[in-house]
This record gives sequence, structure tokens and C-alpha cells, in this order.
Amino acid sequence: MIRAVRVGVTLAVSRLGARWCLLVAACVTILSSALALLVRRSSPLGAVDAVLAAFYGAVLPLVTWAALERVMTGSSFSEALWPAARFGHSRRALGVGASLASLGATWAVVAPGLVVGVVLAAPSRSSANAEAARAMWTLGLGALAYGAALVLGSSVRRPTRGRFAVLVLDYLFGSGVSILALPWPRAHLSSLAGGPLVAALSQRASSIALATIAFVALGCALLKTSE
Amino acid sequence: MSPGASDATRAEVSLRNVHALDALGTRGGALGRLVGVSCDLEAGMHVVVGTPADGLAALWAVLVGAARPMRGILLVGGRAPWSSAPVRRGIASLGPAPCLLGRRVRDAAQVSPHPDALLEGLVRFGLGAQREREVDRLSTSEQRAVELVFAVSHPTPELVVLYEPSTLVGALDPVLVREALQERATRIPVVILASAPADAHGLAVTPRFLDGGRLVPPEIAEGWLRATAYGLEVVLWDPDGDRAAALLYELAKRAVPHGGASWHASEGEPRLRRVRIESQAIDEVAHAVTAIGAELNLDVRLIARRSAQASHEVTSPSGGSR
Repeated sequence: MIRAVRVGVTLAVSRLGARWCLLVAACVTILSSALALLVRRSSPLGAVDAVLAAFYGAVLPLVTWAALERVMTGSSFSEALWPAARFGHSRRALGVGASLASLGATWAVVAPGLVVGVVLAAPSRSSANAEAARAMWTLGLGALAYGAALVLGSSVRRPTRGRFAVLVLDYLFGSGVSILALPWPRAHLSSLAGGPLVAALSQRASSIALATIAFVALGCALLKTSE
Repeated sequence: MSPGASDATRAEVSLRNVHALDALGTRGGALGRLVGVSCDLEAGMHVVVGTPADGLAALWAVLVGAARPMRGILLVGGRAPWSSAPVRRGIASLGPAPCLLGRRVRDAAQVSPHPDALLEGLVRFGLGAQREREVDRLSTSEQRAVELVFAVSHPTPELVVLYEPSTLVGALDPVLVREALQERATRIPVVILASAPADAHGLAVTPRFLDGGRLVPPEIAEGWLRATAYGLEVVLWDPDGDRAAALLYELAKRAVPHGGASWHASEGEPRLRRVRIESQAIDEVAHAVTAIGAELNLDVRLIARRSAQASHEVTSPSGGSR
């Protein structure tokens, strides 16, 4: 079991590739630096919130989607795991390893850009450190929730469409604050970035909701996957 | 293979009314399908001839557990390979597309539960030098050669399923591979899925045909095998194992009329490819082959007419060209 999880990690890492990770991290960092400087010049007080909103609303879902497209090679969850599953490894264990590695890679690729953006946008050094630490935690939860939702989208018959549908539905329903927004990561991340609360849930409850979304979505995807 | 045998659990591999799709079409769609295939595979060599459109890739996918049958039952040793990881551990396979995992070939072997046996196999089959090579830098035929060696080097297989094992497998010695497969076939089922009966050469087995997703009854298949074939044999120098495919690709683009083609490595010199092209328009095919050879700078050693009497290698009337 542990070995299969490790093989799943290897599968995801070898498909992502160091070059892709470095390239995306560099692009995200450049983008966030430019955004932070721009926003700080126009409205210094809300600059950090604006940077966080841009990251959680656009950069994080898109990078997570791109990473999973790369790991899944345009195929379904089961098909993507075949190169390792054919040797008798459990698809579920492989799926856990590949998913966690993809989400970890997404976090690692986006995190430097987010830190740079927050530090550049923050009005003072002391507030920058606190904001960056909080942003890292939220980014981890967000990556987990988006990744798990996209993995669930990958387990349908037309996986590329499934992943795209998750992004579209997240944008449509997650942009609101009603009860319909509850199952979508975008709404909770927006709340954690200083936006309106989702269905009157506190920020702490939104953190728990993100973890729940990740747990439920990944669990459903693994249950749909045959051993 | 005995179609319609009654005891589904006695056979080592048992298919009952299996319907399945492959994933070779565009955008993840299906190219070929199986339609109600029933048969039992006991220990021994089994060659199934067809094209991907006839369901050959779908048959490979369900046999090895890469895809779940849409309907019907497929059991290997009494269990379904799709849903049983331990069953898949005992299935040695070569698929339509190479899928080595890891940076180097050595790393790809580590994914298997018995990496040492696979790496020793590479040495035994003359591919020892590939162990340290990066997978991304291997050509398709080199990757397929490595995967074929991995499949025949499995130390404790319960089933061997090879998709086109004589096509695009680099400079692998076909005699060594055949000997290894024949040794395996004394104990377990060895299934070879090929697009031409020529792939059954030297395996002492009568091929079965897959046509339109169904296994052709033996009495009809026998007629196909006896049918007179006309065609050309082209011998060309192909050290990388990709020039025969390039030749046939160009031939297909020019719409030269032919009824199927196959190629395999020459027994004495694996870097020589023998390409067999079935056609009654022999002169037209020969002219096209000469022109393509000049354009692609192919080292064509021989273009010869095949004797109708000597040939038993016809492709399925429904297709078989590649």
C-alpha cells in the first residue's frame, strides 16, 4: 500500500517535470510582483486583499487545473494511473499518491509568487510576515480543495470535459455567497481573502469547509476508481 | 481457444459475452469494440489477428485489466483483472502505446514488484545498454522493445498478452523472444494480438481472426487463411525499427491500392525488415515503393513478387492494413 502511494507520487512528479514547475513558478512570481506593485500604487490599504483575491480566484484554480491536466495526460483518473497499475499496484493507493503529489506541486509552484506578492503589497514588514503566513495556510487548503474537486472531475467518462466543468461550475456558483456557493472552493477562499462570508459562515468554518470539500471529493473519486 | 466452453472457472482465462470499447479514437472516444466475445484460453500460444477497428486494442485492454468490460464477464484465474490488483500483478503485457514510467529505463523497472528480473531480462535480450538511458530520449520502437523484454522477463506470470509484438520493437532478436514465449506457453496462456497472420510465423499455432468485434468461427477463418494472396515483399535496412512504418505510412498517403501490410524483423539480421504488402496491383505498388524509397532515402535491399502458392498470409478481408 505504502509502496503504491510512493509509486503514485513518482508518477505525478515524473509527469509534471522540474522544468514545468520552475517555468510556472517563475511566471506566477513575475505576475504577482507586477500585480502587487500596481495595486499598491492605486489603493495601498486593500492591496494585500486584492493580491489574495487574484491568486485564489484565478491563479490557484488555473495552475491546479494545468498541473492535473499534465499528470492525467488528458485521460481519466484510472487511465492515467495505468502505467503503474499494470504492475499490480492498487489504483486507489496510486491515486492517493498522485493526487497528493500534484497538489503539493501546485502549492510549491504558487507559494513563492504569493509570498512575493503579499510582501510587496503589504504596507509594513511586520504585517507582511503575518499576512504571508496566513496566506500560505489558506493556499494549502485551497490547493487541496481545488485539486480534489478536479480529481473528481477526472473520474467521469469524458475527463477533460469533467475537469473543465468543475472550473466553470466553481466560477458560476462559487462567485456568490448563497447556500449554492457552499460546495465550491472559490466562495470559501474569497471569504478567507477578506471577501464576504459564505452563507454567514465564519472564516474558521470556511477553512473547515475547504478541508471537507477536499476530503469528500477525493473520497468520491477514489470510490469511483476500481482497485 | 475453445469458444463456448461451459465451465467458466476451469479455464485460466475466460471471456463470456464480453462487450468492450478501446480508447484509441479522437478525444478519448472509441476506435474499435468487442461485441459479445466468448472464449476460453488455456495454457498455450494464442494468436488473434485483427485491426484496432476490429476491437483488437479493446481485447488487449480488457484482458490486461486496463479497461472494464461494458458487459459480460472476463476472468483470469477466476478473478477480474480490472478490479483485482493481485491479478494484474501476474499479467505480463505489451500495449499499443509505450508507457514506461520514470526518468531512466532502470527507474521504469523499479515500478514493478520484481525489478531485478526485468533488468536481468534487458541484459539477456541484448538491451543492457538501455538501462541507463532516459526514457524520454528513447524512440517509440526502443520503448516498445524495452516493454516487450519486461513482459517476457516477468518471473511468475499467469498470463502474457502482447499487442503487435513484432512491430516497432527496435533491433530486438525475434528468435530469442519467440523462444521465451514458447517456453512460457507450455505453462500459461500467451496471447498475441496482431494485425497480420505473418506475426504467427514460427509459433506453430493457427491464428484466430477478430472481425467487426467478433471472433470469426474457425471454419471461416480457415478459408481466409487458404485464400490466395498476391503481393510484394520488400526488404529494407531498418536499424532503428521505424522505416518500415514510414514506408507504409507514405504508401497509405498515396492511396496505392493494397489489401493490408505487415512487417517483421529478418531472422538472421534483426535490423533488416521484411515488409509484406498484399495487393493485386503489384506493379503499381512496386513503383510507389521505389519512389518512396528514393524520397525518404530508404535503403531498400529487395523488392520481390510473392508466390501465390507459397503464401498463407492474408490479412482479414475487413482490413489489416497499417
